[in-house]
Amino acid sequence: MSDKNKITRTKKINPLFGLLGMFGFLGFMGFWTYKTSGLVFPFIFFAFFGFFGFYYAGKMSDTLMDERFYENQAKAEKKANKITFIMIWLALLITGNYLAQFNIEYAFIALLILVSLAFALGFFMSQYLLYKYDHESFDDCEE
Amino acid sequence: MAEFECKLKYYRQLKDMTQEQLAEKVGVRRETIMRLEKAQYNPSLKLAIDISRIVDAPIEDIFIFD
Repeated sequence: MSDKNKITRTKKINPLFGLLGMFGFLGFMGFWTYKTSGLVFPFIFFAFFGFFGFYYAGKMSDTLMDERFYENQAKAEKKANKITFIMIWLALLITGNYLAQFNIEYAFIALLILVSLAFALGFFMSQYLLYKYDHESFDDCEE
Repeated sequence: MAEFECKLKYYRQLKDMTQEQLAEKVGVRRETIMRLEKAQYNPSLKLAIDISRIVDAPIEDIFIFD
C-alpha cells in the first residue's frame, strides 16, 4: 500500500504562526549593515516573508489528506514553483545583463534580495493556492 | 476536466447514508463527496470503485460520461 493510501491529516498549526512572516522585515536591516560594515547576509531575511503562508497552512490544519487534497497540493506547488523559477530567471537576467555592467556589488545585492523574495513568494503561494483550490466554489457545493 | 453526470446522491440516499458516513467509509472528506455529487470533481478509479462497492451500484451507473 502506498503512502497516499494511508489516511493522514495535515499538521496542526495555529494560523497565528503566519505572523512569523513579520521576520521578513529584518531583511531591511541589510541596507543598514551594508552601509555600516559591508555585510549583505541580512538581505536573506526577506525570505522569511514566506512565513505569512503559515496563516493559510493553519487554516488547512488537521485536514484529512484525501486524493483531492494531494491533487490540489500538486497543482498549487507546480504553480508556485513556476512563479519562483520565472522570478529567479528574470532576476538573473536583469542583474546579470544590466546591473552588473554598472556595479557588480549592487547587482549581487539585487540578486540576493530578488532570490530571497522569490523563495518567500514560492512558499507563500504554495500554501495560499492550496487553500484557494481547496475552497474554490465551495459555497456552491454546500447542501 | 471531463464533464460527466453524477448519480451518487441518488444511490447514496437509496442506501440511506449521509455524505459524512460515505466519506468516512471511502476515506475522503465530506467536501470531496459534495463535489463529486455536484460533478465538480473527477475521482480516481480507486475512489470510484470504492464508492460503487459501498453504494452497491455499477460505476457506469454512478458516473455517466458522454
